[in-house]
Amino acid sequence: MGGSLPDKHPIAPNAIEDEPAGAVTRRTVLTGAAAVTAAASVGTALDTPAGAQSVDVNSQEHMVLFVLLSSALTGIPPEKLAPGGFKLQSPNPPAPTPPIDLSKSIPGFDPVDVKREYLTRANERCPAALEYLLQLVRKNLNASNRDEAIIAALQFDDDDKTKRPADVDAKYLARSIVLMWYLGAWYEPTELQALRKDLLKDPTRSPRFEVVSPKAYTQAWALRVAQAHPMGFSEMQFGYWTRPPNPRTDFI
Amino acid sequence: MAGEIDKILWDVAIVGSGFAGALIANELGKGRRRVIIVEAGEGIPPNINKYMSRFYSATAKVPESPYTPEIFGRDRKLIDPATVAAGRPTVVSLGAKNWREPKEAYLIQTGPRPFGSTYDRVAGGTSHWLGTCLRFAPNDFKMKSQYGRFVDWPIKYKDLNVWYEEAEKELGVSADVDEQRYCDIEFSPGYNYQMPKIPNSTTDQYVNESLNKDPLTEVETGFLGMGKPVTKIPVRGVPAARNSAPYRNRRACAGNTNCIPICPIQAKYDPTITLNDARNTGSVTFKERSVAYDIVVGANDLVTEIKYKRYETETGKETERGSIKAKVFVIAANTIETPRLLLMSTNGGRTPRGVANRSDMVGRNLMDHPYYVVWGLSPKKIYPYRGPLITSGIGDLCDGPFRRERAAFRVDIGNEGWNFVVGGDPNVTTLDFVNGLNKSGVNAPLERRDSRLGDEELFGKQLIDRLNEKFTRQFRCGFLIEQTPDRDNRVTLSSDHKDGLGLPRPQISYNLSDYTRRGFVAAHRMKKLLFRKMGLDDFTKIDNDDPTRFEEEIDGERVALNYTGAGHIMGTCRMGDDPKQSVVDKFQRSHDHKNLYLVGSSTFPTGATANPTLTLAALSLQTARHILDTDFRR
Repeated sequence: MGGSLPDKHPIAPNAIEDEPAGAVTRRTVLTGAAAVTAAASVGTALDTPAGAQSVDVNSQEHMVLFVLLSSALTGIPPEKLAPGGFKLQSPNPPAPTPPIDLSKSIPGFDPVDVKREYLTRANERCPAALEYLLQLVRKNLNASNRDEAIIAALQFDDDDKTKRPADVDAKYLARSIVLMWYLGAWYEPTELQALRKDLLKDPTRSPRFEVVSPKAYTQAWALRVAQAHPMGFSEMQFGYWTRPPNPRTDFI
Repeated sequence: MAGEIDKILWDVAIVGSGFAGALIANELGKGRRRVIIVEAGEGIPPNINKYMSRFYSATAKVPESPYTPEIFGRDRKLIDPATVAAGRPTVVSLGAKNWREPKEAYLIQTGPRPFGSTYDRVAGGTSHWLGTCLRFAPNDFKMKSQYGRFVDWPIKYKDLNVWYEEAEKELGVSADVDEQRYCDIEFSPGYNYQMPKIPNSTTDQYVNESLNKDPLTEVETGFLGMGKPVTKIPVRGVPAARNSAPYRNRRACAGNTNCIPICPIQAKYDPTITLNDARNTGSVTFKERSVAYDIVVGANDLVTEIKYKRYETETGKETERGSIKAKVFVIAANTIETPRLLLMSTNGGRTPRGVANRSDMVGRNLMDHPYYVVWGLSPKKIYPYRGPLITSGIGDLCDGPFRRERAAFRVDIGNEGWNFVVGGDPNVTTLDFVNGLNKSGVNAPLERRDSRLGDEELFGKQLIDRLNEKFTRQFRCGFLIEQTPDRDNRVTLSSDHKDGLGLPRPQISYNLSDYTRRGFVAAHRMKKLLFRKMGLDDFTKIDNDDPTRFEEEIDGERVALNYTGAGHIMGTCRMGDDPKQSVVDKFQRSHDHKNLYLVGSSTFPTGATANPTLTLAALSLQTARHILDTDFRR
C-alpha cells in the first residue's frame, strides 16, 4: 500500500485551510493528543496521495492494518481478533515499541481466519472507504493513543459541513466492520446510513443484512461481550449456566 | 421403487413422521408389523450438518430456519407457497404486513385474529421444539366436571400415567420427581425420571430469590383466585427431553442456548432418533417427499388405501402418483395437516364432509397457548444467553378454582435475553449502539425509550462496556395462556389457494374468547407483581399495528396486550366418547372408520397450559399398544 492514498479518495477536504477552530496539528496527534481533538486533525495528518493503490487482501501488511483497525473499532485486542501469533514488530526491541515495522509484523496464523473473510468483504463492497480506513491506521500507527485517534476520526455528525462524502463513507464502513466482528453479519454502509433516516419516517423499517458465512456467525463477538457465546455455538460444558460466568476479560 | 411399495399390502400405513408417527412406527416395528411411513417432506439426513449450516447462515433465525423447504428465494423474498410442494407456515410470514398475504403465507388466514404458530414438514416433524416434557395436571382432563367448563377428556390422568412413564423413557427426560409434584400431579411409587434435573440458570435463581424473598401477601396474590392464601410462588425446574447425562448414546447438554430451533449436539431428543430405531427394526419403510391427499373409504366404512403425490424438488411439480394399501391407517400429520387431509378426502361425494367427519367436528376447536411475552432490564447482572433456552418456570398457578372464571397460565422464564423479542438480539441492541438507533429502547433513558434514534454511537471499549451492561441484565418471560376450545376456531380448505401440487391450502379462522382474554388479564397482573419484585425496568412494547394486539381495562388502566404462537397446535380432531361430539375415541381411533387412527395433539379436547408433546407422545404409545392388541391380535 506504500503509505499513500489514491488521488480519487482524499480523506479530508482542504486539510489545513479548513482546519476547525481548536483543532490540533499533526504533531500533537503524534505526541498523543486527546482523542477528541485528534479526530479533527486526521486530515492534516495525511500525506498527499502519491498514487492509486488498492487494498490487497493477501498482503500481510494490509491484514495487520485491518486487524489494528478492527481492534480499535471493536475494543477487542488484536491478539483475540487474530489468534495464532498476531505480532507487531519494531526495529527497536522489545516490540511493539514504536515505530512499528509493518513489513515485519505478523497477522497471525489463525486456522479459522474469519478476518480474511471480513477484509475481503469490505474490500469487495467498499474498496475506497477501506483504503481510507487502513490509511487512517497507518497514519496513527505509532501514536500512543492509536485506537482513540482512529475512533475520534470516525465520530462526527453526518451534517458536519467540514466533512466530505469520503469521510462519511469511511464512518459507515467502520460501523459495518464492527458489525461483522460482533454479529458475523454484513450490513451495507449505505444501508446503515439510510436506516437512520428511514426510521424517522417508518419505525417498522427493518435493517437488511446478510450473514457473512456460517463460520462468521460462530465467531461473532456480541455474545462473548455478554460473557456468553453465540447461540448454537457453545464451547462450554454441562451446568455452566447455573453460576455466574468468568470475568469479562476471559471472554474478550 | 414406488411401484413395489404400492403392490404391498402393509399392516399399517402412517402418514407423517413427527413425534406421534415415529413413536407409533417404532412400537409397531418392534411388534414385527410391516409398516410404511409416508412423509410429505424430506427424509432423515445422514447428520445435522446441513441443518446447522442453514441455521448459522440464516438472517432470520426463526424456528423453521434450519429445515426445508427454503423460506427465501434467491431474490431474498419469501417464496410463494403456491409454488412449494409441501409448504408450511413460518414465523416470517406472520408479520403485521403479511399474515393475510397468500403469496407469502402458506396458511390462508381469515382472522379475525392471527393464528401464530408454525410447524415443519420434514422427517422428524417439528424438531424445533424446546424439549419441554410437562405432564398435564389431573384437573386438565376434567374441566367440565371440575369447573363446569368445556368438556372432559374420555381418559383420566391415572389412565395416562403409565403411558407418561413410557413416553418419558423413550424421549429421555431430565427432572426431579419431588419437584414435579404440584397441582395434584403424582407418580407411580418409586418412579424416577431417566436423568437428574437440568440445573436452574442464574436468571431462574434471581426470579426465585426476588419473588420469594419475603412471604407474599393476600393483597399481592389475591387476584390469582387460587382459593387459598398464596404466600410463595415456587420457581420449579422444567422437565425436559434434554440430556443431563449421557443417555441412549447422546451426550449431555452443553448449554448452546439453541434448543429452538436446533440443538447442535443432539442433546435434545427429536423424533429422528426414534425414526432411526424404527427403521432398525427391519419392519419399517420410509417414503419421503410423498404428500398424502386422498383417504379412500371402501366397504364397511373401512379405509382401503391412501393416495399420494410425490415430488423431487421443493418447488418442483408432481413427479409421480401412487397409492398405499394397508390393513390399518394412522394419520399423524399434525393438527392442521391432519384435518386438511381428512377434509380433502371426499370419496367422490360418499364422504362429502371428508373422512372421519360425520360429527362435523373435524377441523374445529383449533387451540394454541397464546403466548404473552414481556421483557425488561434487571437491576443486577443475571447473565442470560447461557444454558438451555428455558430451565425453569412457574407451574403452581396452572390449576385452581379460578378456572371457573378465567383461563389458567403457565410462566416460562427465558434464558435467552431479548433474542426472542425486540426484533432479535444480539443484533438489534448491537446495531443500536453502533449506528445510533433505538429499536431495543435501551439506547436512551427509560422515559425516552420510544425515541427512534439512540443517544449513543459507539466504538471500541465504550461499546463493549455498554453492550455488556445491557446484555447481561436482559430478562424475558412468557405466559402460556390456556385457550378455550371454540367451534369457530377452525381449519378448513381454501377454495382459492393451492400449493405446488395443486392441493388446497389450509384455511384458518381464529379468535380469542372472553375466558381466554381474562387469562391474559391475570397474566398481566402476575407480570406486574414479578417485575416489581425483581425491580425490572419494563421495556415490553406492543406495536400499534400488531394484529394480535387488543386492549383490556385492568385495575383502572387501559392496557395493551398481545400474543405470539407457542407452537402448541391442538384440537381439530377432538377425542371423546360421543361420536356426535367428537372425532376419535380414547384410543384415537376414528368413530367412523374402525381401521383409521388420528394421532397427535389434534385429538386434545382441551389444551390446558402444559406443552403438549409429552401428552401426545403418551397417547401415541397407548394407541400403538391398542393397535397391536386389537387390530392384530392373534
